[in-house]
Amino acid sequence: MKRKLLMAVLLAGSVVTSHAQEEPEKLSSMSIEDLLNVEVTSVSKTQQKLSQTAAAIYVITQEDIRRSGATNIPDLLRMVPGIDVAQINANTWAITARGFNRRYANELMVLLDGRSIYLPTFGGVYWDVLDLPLENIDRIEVIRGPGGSIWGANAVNGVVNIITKKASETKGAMIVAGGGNLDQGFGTLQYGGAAGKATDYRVYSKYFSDSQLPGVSGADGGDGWNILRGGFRVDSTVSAKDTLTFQGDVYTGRVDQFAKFFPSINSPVQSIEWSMGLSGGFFQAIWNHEFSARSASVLEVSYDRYQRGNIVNEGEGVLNVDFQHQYRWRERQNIVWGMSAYDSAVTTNGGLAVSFNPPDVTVRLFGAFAQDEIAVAPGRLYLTIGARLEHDYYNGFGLMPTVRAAWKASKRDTVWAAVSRAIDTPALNDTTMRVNFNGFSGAHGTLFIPALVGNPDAENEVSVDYEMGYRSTVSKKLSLDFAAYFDQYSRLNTSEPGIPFFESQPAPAHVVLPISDENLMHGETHGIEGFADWKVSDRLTLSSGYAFEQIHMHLNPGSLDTTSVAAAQGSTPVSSAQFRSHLFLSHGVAWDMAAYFVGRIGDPIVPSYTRLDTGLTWQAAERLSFSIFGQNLLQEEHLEYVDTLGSTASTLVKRGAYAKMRWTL
Amino acid sequence: MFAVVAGVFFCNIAAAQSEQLSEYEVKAAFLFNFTKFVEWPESSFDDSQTPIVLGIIGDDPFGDNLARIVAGQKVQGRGIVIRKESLGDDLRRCHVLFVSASERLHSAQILSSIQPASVLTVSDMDGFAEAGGVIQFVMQENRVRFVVNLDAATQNKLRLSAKLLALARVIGHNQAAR
Repeated sequence: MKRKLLMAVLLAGSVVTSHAQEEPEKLSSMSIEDLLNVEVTSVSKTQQKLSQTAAAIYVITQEDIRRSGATNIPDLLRMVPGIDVAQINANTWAITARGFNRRYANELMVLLDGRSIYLPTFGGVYWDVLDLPLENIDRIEVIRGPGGSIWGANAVNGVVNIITKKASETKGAMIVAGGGNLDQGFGTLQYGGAAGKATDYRVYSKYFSDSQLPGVSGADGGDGWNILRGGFRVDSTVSAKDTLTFQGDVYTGRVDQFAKFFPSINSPVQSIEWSMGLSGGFFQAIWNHEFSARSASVLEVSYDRYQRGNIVNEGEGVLNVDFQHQYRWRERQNIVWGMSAYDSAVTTNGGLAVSFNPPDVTVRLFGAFAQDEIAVAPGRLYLTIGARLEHDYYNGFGLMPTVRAAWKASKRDTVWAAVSRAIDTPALNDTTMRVNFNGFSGAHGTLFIPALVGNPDAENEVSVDYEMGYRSTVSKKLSLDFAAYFDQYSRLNTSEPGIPFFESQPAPAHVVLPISDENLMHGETHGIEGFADWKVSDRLTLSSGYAFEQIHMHLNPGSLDTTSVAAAQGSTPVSSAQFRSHLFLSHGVAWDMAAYFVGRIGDPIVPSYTRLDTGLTWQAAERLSFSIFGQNLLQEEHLEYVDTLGSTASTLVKRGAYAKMRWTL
Repeated sequence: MFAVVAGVFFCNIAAAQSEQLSEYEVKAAFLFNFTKFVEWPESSFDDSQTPIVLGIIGDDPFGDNLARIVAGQKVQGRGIVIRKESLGDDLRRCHVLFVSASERLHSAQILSSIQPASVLTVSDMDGFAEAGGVIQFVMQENRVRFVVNLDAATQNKLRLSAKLLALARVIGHNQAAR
């Protein structure tokens, strides 16, 4: 509760909500039976604030999660207009916002309760291990567009912020169990309770086993996987002004994939079925302190550790410390500042196909940000000025400023605009990775090996983003949200041929034809995103969304790159659209349907497809529900993405169905 | 890097027009409604004009919602006044006492300090009814529900109407006897 209050303080600066006169008058005349039937906004203050945000934000609520039938976080993100979700195989996804989608998409920041899931070291998110009982998620806030002024480098095109429920909200036992043709078996066991007057806890265990998908050529995809996970959360109110949260989990699992393998430097690359063990866990402590009604702070310390038995057998230990303080100064200013430090120790053990040089590295990042939100005309016009300064491993200091304005044109309409600069720091994939391709014999039998060779001097990619948006609550039943953006990118990565060099090891001696990252591309993207929610009646809700995006890239003079322009321009669909409906039938039965159209991807070509998910949920009793869902019903199978680097083989996303029961007691 | 900091972009416009009711608007309406279904002993009021005192102890989550709802309303011929209380105040002067979750560490102290008096204690903190509070709000699928501890009501010499009990989840030994 304290934490909720603090949130309210941080969000609103004061715990005051004022409403039009008619609402309380109506409320006082409502009977107690009426009141029992009123559905309230569980995160009202947040949502109210969201409606005024000077950024393109979308919130996935727990109710959305329940209705979606999604069994993993990537599938949940499909409902956000403007987020590109492409499944590469059963256990691998490419996900980003506003362009440049790929397996290691390094423009999307992902956070779980404030802890970065995005790995600056490998420039991506391991979506396969971003897993928790979805019932424990309070909401997912998704921001499209730059968030670097707060979240730092790599929050270039979006931020996904997953917020879990407090332990006090998940009391009692919960059993979730289900299975189907693809999600062959999954289950969660959870127990939440109180330890003393001021401490709540939950402990849980989750397991799933997913079957393999069909391969592109018709053979089995060899990409089945399973993960067993156990975790806990403890929330404790230490004093009237302090709350502590501790949480953590450990997991172990096995992921199968086809991977590239070189038996020796002069034999052709093979695609072999690779079974990798996954293990890891995290521990996090959060201390919220309220100095006064005007001032509050949050200190977070976390340690993450994982080991992936992939072809480079990578492991990583990340220590993160983050502090933030919010202060309301006088009547019109709301100041937030913070500092963070990130220390990551990476170990790898690569092979001939892929390796890192040096194999082990420690990467440190430091950042500090400050932001002031000024009520230029209280209740009407707000201006936010902020910047983050970050020191990264390769390129030293980088500055990410933003200026945002929100104008509440009327009670129902908000117009916002923003200009931001964001940077994208190089990852190990750019700086120290070596990938060998099939060799060939030249004149005199010389062996030539084309290879990607990391460039330790890779520079930061830079973007300047201009955005604006309009939000309207047209009526009690209809709300609209539009955003438009124009982003200018410079110093984007290109693949440039380097000077061939001789290598005697591994034998036989060979000439390497290197391709290295240089920062010789620039360009623009522009697009619009919009969505509408229509509450047709108490029983029927319809939601629809649309996103349009174009990417135009240009090489700088001197670049010899032949692939990056096409790859970037063809990285995401031009158009995507979605339509969702929720219909409450009767006797506790609800019918949900979602259709997603995803346009053609240009490079490599992936045809457009439409995904249809639908399901029935029966709330059999207050604490017992059953559901059946069908996913990807329109086609037997379809392709969503091809990883251009070729390190992960694509398989076909297949029609699926599952049944599930959820019992709380 | 926190959940809360998503709020950093959020413009601070207080008069947000939520089309849905917020949790505390609804809870405020419940508090007002409870007064209609409770009979206090006559000794709780000085005379027939004495207003019903609705106290709030701890951080007030209602904003001005509660004041607006009860403004000008009469229940059982009595007006309603809202009082902000703190620890150490004589809480026995309240007829209804909402114990804010900020007082979680002091809830036992608060509950014992109202004895002996007829105070309808209400809170939304977990375990409040089991710990001897009379009514506890619980959230269920985004709807406000409430739990009544009949033993606590009896001990406080409060008579709750059958209608209220029919709509509540009732705990307490009396429940077993009924």
